[in-house]
Amino acid sequence: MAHFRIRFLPDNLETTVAAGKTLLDAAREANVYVGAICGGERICGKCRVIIREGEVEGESTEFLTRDEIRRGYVLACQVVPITDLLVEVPPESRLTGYKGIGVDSEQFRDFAHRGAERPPAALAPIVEKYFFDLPEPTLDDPTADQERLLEAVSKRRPGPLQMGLKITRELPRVLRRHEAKRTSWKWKWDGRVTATVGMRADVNEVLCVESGNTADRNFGLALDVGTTTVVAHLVDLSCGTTREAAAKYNSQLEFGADVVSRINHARQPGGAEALHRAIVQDVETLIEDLVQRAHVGRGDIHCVVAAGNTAMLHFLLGLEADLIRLSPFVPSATSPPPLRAAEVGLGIHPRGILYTVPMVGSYVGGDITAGVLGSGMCDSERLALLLDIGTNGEVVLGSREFTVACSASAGPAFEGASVSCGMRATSGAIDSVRFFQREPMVAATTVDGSPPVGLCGTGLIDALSGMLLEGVVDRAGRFQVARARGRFRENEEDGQPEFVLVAAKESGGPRDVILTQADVENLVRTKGAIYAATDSLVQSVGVSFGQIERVYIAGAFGNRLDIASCVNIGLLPDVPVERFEFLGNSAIAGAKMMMLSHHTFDEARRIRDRVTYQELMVDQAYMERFTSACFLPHTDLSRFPSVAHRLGAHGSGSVPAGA
Amino acid sequence: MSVPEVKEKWSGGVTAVTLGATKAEGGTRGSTVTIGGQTGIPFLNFDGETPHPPAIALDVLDKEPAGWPPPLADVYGDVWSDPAAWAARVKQLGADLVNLRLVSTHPDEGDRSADEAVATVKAVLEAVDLPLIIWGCDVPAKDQVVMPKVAEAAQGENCLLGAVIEDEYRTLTAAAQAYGHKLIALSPCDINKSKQVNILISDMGYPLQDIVVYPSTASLGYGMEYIYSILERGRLAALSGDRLMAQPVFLDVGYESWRAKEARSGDEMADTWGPAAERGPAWEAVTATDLLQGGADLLAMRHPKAMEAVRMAVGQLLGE
Repeated sequence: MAHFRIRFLPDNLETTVAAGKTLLDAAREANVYVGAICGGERICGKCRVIIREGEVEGESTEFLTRDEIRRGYVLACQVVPITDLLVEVPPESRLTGYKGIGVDSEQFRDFAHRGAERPPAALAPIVEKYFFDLPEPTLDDPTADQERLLEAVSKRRPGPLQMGLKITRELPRVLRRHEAKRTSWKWKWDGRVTATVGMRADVNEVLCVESGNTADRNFGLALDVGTTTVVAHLVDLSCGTTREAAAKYNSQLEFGADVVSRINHARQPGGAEALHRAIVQDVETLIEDLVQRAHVGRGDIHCVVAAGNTAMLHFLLGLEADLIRLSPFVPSATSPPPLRAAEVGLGIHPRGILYTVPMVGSYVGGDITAGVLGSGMCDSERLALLLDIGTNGEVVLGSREFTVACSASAGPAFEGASVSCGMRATSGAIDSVRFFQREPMVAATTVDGSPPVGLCGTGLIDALSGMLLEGVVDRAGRFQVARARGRFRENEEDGQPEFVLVAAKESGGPRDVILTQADVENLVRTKGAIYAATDSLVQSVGVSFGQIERVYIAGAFGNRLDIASCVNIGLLPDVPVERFEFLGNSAIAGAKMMMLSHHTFDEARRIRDRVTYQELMVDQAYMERFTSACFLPHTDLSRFPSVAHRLGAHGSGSVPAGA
Repeated sequence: MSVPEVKEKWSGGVTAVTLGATKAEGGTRGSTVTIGGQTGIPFLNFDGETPHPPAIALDVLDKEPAGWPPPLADVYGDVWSDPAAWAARVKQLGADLVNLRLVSTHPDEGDRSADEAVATVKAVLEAVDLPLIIWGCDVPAKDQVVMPKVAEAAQGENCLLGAVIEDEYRTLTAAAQAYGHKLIALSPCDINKSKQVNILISDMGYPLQDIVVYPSTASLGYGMEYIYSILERGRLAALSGDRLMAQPVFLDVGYESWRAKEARSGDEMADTWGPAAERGPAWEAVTATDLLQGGADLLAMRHPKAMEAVRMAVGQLLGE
């Protein structure tokens, strides 16, 4: 069979692939990231590459314009090489950020360190080291080594204890020096021992014993296994501080951008194993990075606390995830017992424990439990709302009295998929946009200050908000070309108008950053789904938005999210801006809190148990709320008084009815 | 034992919309028709006022209709090649309004020009002095060319123009605004969409109280209950004070009823279904009277017997 050599620019990485393999396969072989959000299903149109030399064959595609095709653009998942190739991966398809161990991108540092942390009142880590100076056994005190140790431990950590055979075998030599002479040997009592004790469900286990005092060498790994990003924090369990943090993209991205496409991939032969391996490898990469930077041995990490959505935690543990996708949406497990991290392939201390944050259900995962914990909303008398805005938008409403949660399938528009110039928050992504009247003018910033190549979620929200206030779109999201004729261009294929947010010739970027009518419709549907989910929860417990005293925003948007823009488009409820609070990465914050106090760990279980999950798919009113919310900001403008005021004040012609 | 008080107190009501303009009002109509204005649930006279009974418009097409069954051909066959003569027949039969459909402007139905459509409208305005409802051909690109000219030609006559939809609302709204006509806002079977279209129109500065809404129609046996519940919910919202749902409702009963095979099929079915001459009008009449209970104010119909039956039922229900 013929083979072709494929070289990828700008990384200059090369691979050889058999005839019939797609260019996307070749890129994976060569470890070159090409932004295939759909995982090669030919539906996202994001794996744009340019053929510099050589030839390919494949089907025509509607994702590329004639001009782009002339310039050599192809979609990597749709073409196969028929000669050796030189391929350029253009900026919009590249994944810049984590380049490997020791290389830190600023944006990830920011991401990794974000998180509102509520330190526990008293440090009581789930895995704790205790130093003892045990008295030497005598004829009057002939207690056996194991009992002697366990008795000492139980004074510091009450409750049932267990200790494995391996440790029991080691113990006599840890407690004594064993001096061998020519023909005899001598046991010399030392008694100074450090025992590492970890929580295992309802029992505490002595995980290891070391001679001398090593109590200051006890670390834990807090993990947020996100669908898009994996974040790890190295926590010093002896004092509760975070030593280092690292993050990287979830390598499963190449198998699909959202949870359901990954579950579908898992159904293919070897697919589940590949997903499991990919995420374990990511965590391993992060661990290696952290231990090198912190000068810590892998063996000093005694526990991992993993938060994440239900599907991601299933993949991490290698659990069957297919049932999550199918009615009645039953996961394999929602609170897997603590288990040896080595069993899933994580290289920490060989007897180190992996804890998973308890999950609520198939679509409300451990990240949400952690977020609720981190927000403290379950301890407060004040009614609070927690929103995690992602491909699945999770919403939690509650107080000390009650907690309800639901999840809406919002779609990946805010993560850059299903929007023509959408991208993740990587290099060149526009993350904020401001409109100025007259024409209107648009000012935009990118994540890293480099020329714009596309828009990430916060940029998309700002753009839609600006377009609404300036009357570039009407309240149904329809383009009003006459209001800004100079800013629209015609699609060269179908003649449909496209709004040019940033023109390439002004920004120095590789292409015009545009929004199509379909893009706006996707955004409106996405925000509509999240608002309707919020609305459903609020209605279900018979309260009003005005009674909500706190709105916590969790998830990757973090501080870049502009609350006013979100309210303008009707993504977030119109409550006073001071009620909003960014939790940042609340999944990792919650995981850390649980790691630092086993009381908090128990609290997380209680939170999980008390959350009432509402399945929107069986809620008939949800569809109606969704239609109502698919309008800017909402069909019922009286829910958004501040937006009504802004629409009126802007004189955009969109004078609100009844105002 | 006393009878419990079941009277509801409503805070809102249905907007009253007047169609047509007499000479005194700047038009040439002999009289005007006002629809809406209710302050209670349909036909519950103790509940609120019904100042204007439902009005009925009879269909007039601007070309000979294809496939209208014999019971309709018997009534209009001699005039349906001439819209003006057809309109005169409609008046003679007692319709409150003429429901003029410019079907021949459709690219597949003759593709007549805007000027030809204007001529038709003028001829109908000449022939009868009833208020007019005027429809395009349902092809937005063509309607955008035709309807502004039609609206201009009928300036001052206070016609009702159909129909504005969410995707295409600017041209027709602007035309209605410029030439003083009322508007039909169409949103199939969805209360929220209906509100949204009303908002879009009023955001252009067009008054909410000049809109008539059209939630689409389904006939007896073809999902009527779905439309019924939409009508009912809309009316309850209007009576509860929702200004965006307060508009009177138009229904296209004739068109939908005569699509049903029970109305269309001929006397070959007479053995089991009864004679065609009775059955079609009955189907239309039952559809209309049923939907009126849900809350409707203006019906487009086809058969004069059906119209008479509906008028009789309305009269009885209103205690006249």
